[in-house]
Amino acid sequence: MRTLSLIVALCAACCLAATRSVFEGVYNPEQATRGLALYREECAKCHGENLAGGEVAPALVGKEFTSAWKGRAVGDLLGIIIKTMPTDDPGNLSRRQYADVTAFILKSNEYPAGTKDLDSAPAASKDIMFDEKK
Amino acid sequence: MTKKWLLAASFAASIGIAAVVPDGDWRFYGRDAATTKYSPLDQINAENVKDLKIVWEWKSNNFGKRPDFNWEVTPLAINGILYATAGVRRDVVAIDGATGETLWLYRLDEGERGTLVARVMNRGLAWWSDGKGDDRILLISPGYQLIELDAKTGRPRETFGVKGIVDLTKGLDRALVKPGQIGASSPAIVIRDVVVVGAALQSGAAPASKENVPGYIRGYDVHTGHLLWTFHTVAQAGEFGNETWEKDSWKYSGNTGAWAPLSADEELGYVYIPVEMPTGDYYGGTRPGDNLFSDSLVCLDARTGNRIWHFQVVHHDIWDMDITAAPILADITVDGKKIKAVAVVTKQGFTYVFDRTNGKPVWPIVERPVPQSNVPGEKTSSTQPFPTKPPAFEKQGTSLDDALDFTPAIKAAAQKILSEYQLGPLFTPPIVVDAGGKRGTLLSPSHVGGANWQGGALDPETGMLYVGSVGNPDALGLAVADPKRSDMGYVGGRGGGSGQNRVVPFDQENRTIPKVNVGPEGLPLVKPPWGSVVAIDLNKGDIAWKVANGDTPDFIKNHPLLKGIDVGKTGRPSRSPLMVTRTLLFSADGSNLFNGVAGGGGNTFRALDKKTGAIIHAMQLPAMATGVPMTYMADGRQFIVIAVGATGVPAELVALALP
Repeated sequence: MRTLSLIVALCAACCLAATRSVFEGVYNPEQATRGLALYREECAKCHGENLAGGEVAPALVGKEFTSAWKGRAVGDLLGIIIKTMPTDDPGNLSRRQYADVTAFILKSNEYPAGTKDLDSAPAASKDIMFDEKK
Repeated sequence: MTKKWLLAASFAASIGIAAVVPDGDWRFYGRDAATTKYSPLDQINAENVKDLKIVWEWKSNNFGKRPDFNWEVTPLAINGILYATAGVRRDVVAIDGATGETLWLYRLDEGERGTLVARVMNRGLAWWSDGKGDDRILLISPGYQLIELDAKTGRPRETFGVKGIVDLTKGLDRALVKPGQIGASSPAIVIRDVVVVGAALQSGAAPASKENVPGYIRGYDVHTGHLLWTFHTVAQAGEFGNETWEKDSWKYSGNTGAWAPLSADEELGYVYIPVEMPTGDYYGGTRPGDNLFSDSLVCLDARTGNRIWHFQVVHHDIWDMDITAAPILADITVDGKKIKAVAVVTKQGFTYVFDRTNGKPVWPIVERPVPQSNVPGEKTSSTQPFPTKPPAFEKQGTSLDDALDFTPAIKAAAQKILSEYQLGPLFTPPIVVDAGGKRGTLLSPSHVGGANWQGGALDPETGMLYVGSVGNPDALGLAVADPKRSDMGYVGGRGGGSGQNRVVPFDQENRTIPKVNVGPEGLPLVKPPWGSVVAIDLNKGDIAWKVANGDTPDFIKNHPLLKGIDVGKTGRPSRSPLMVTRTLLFSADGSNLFNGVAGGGGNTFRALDKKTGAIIHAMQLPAMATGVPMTYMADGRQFIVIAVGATGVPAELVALALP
């Protein structure tokens, strides 16, 4: 029993250690710039040039966005974007393009940039949490 | 003179508005300048329509970096040749109407200007001829340039503008017009050798600024491309209506374009402009006043651009109630009096009918008091115009009585959800989200309800106007604008103006993105019908019939809460594109890909009885109808062509004919 408890405790510690914050610089500024170009071409027609939402599309910035994603993972956001966007042709941009546009959304919400690109695989950012600024 | 000739002559006189187009052609977006969408062809009739089959398909997959999925085009047909825009680049193609073979292609590389565009979707082209073989095609490009092509070769006409091109972003009273700020989604119309051009701008649900580019209406010489006139849809200093832009808001307010197709009367020389709302779809605190000529039907002299008359259908719009459909010209007889009329169908479910020579309403349109906004800084108009005839073709306003009532339990649950919203009559203003404990204002028809750009179709033989309508309500809620992102004060919040919509899973069968404020357990919130086709008798000002558009969506038919309950035919919440011929009315499940709601769309194309709306024939298309159908003759055969597409299904034209 003690062994089991130890394993559970260790796992929990691992998980905690593995969890990153969206404030830790999880994308590269150049990636966000690439994402901006793609956003304007593919996304702005519905979500608005200022990401503030359109007639039938939600805002991707501000309180509306951050409260919707609070406590969730960046990988989930990337996964949903891949699965559902663009609405007329979901899943058919390249994985790198999806990661770029996600980086642009992060930048637009004033999450800090880092040095590495956000990985194009959603699984790789499942541990990056939308949390409160520490 | 033979009896047959006499009959033909008398018929032509009775449909004078459409008579200039040869029977086998479709020369304007709506076949004729009157936008009747009526063809006198009768080879396909009630007896043989069941034999219709797909005879060719023209696919647009490779026109553009990625395919177009939502092709709203209605091709033109002149002497058996079709002319259409194609793909997201809006290339122009000529297609053999009999075989579907591509005859020529025009492609303009606009660079960034063509990539960052206000509106990707488009509805087609305009055509002009001197009647002696000099035929021309007019395109408005994604980057808002007017291009004139030789209809025989597809090559730009060098004598028009600069090497065939006129830059439409010039002359808009703004120092800088950035790529993507303004464009057009509907074609120009050519009347009396003048190319009249409208405009479409980005969605105004949550605009970055109260300042925007105005969507002025312009007239250009069809030979030279020279600008002949500009009509200021935002009344400028010293102009009629300037006082309706209080606090100098005319200086910076924009939008107020005409993004729906335009119509014209060749004989009168007038063009009829359906003008949209000004900047800020749901908040007008930055533009106090009635805001002329927003939401107005404007009649201009095509040669001079002088205003002949106008009628504003919504004062100080904060509901996104653009006039979205082409006005339809109809020669009608009311109480024995012949009237050259123009009718326009709207999002709010009204049909406004005027004498098109002078703008006098055919039946009184009265100003009635409406609920007032309590949003800070907002000042709504105390009254709005209500037509006394014809009756509204869509249910207006929201109340607890609207609750879906298939079972008592469903009704109770739907009423509970309804009570979470601000309810009220037509023109109930949007509220700030959570104000008074309400999620938002529930509007019916909503900003994507009633009639839209698909508009109506008119049978000039009977004066019957057919219109497709959506009855699903939608919620509007305002949020305080983040000053870093917008200087509007308030913008559409939580879904860009759609309030707190509940979301149901993807409806794979219909390939639409369900999004609308659904009711209990993913069911609709209100009673059906959710989509209708309506016949309005313009001679009487009455509704002749109303039928549900299509069957009950499968996700409702098979819903566990409805096991053993026959809910009847509810119609799909999508707007049918309509075309009428001498013999039949044609409809489709149809919709607009981006405004699709749960159960909208569907692939069915139908022939209806013009007198009753009864379905005579139904057939499946390869995907959802995304454009308004058209018909023409080629090699002695009547064809029907319609643009189709869906999420994941690239757009194509489908041609139907008898074997």
